[in-house]
Amino acid sequence: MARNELTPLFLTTRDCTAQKKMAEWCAVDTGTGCYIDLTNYKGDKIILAICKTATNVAGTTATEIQIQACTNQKFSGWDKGDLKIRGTSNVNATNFKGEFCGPFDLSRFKDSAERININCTAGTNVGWVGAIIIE
Amino acid sequence: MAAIAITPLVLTTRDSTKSGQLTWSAVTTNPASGAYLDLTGYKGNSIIIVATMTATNVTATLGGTVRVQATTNSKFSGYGKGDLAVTLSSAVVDLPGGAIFMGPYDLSRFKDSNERIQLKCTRGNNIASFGAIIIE
Repeated sequence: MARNELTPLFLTTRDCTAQKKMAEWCAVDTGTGCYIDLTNYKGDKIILAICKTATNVAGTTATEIQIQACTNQKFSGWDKGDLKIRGTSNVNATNFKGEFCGPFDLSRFKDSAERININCTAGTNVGWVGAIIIE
Repeated sequence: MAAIAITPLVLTTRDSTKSGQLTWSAVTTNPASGAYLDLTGYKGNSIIIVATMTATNVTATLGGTVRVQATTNSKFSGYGKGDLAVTLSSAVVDLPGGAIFMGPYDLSRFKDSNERIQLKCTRGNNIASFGAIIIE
């Protein structure tokens, strides 16, 4: 199945009186995963977020989501598999429990055609991933 | 009732292979507690404020506004008191991850200060939970 493209939320100091919802929470499962397209990227840093709720968790509590670069298996100096977000039982609660990782420097991706791939290593429909790009 | 201290999640590029969970603090008007972020000893460079509410913690009417302001001089990085308002709508309750984000705010001028960012509800009861992310 084709990957789903994840649209990041852009936050910028030029407009920081605004309040914004996450642009998209993209479901990540073992079959499809999702990606962030860095083409024409003009930002500075990215933060990745994961959430899961009682209504969408079907995996184990130790399930991980791995973040990796598509083109060369490197993402700002980190190897494939270095970056993991582990969904814990605490994240699985009725209230929104966000878990964040980053910030990752994206300056080297400027005007590149690379993608950040987000995969699950175990479980099904394990969580929802969002991304915040800070300009 | 005294305002509740919010513990921000600190994210740093020096250790960004780890993930961290946001700590949420409920902001209420009854009892009127509010919440604050203590910037004493702060070494970060920007902050993002996150607000959420779900069906389990909302007992007030929707549309209540939470205001973000600085204690000492009613200014926060150039914004006047009341300039920064988070108005929660019914859409925020939607799952998954119903949350809204504000920022990033430049905190460089607060370095080594003893100022606080105050978070208050202007109406409603047990209206929202707040978290904060400091980026170093």
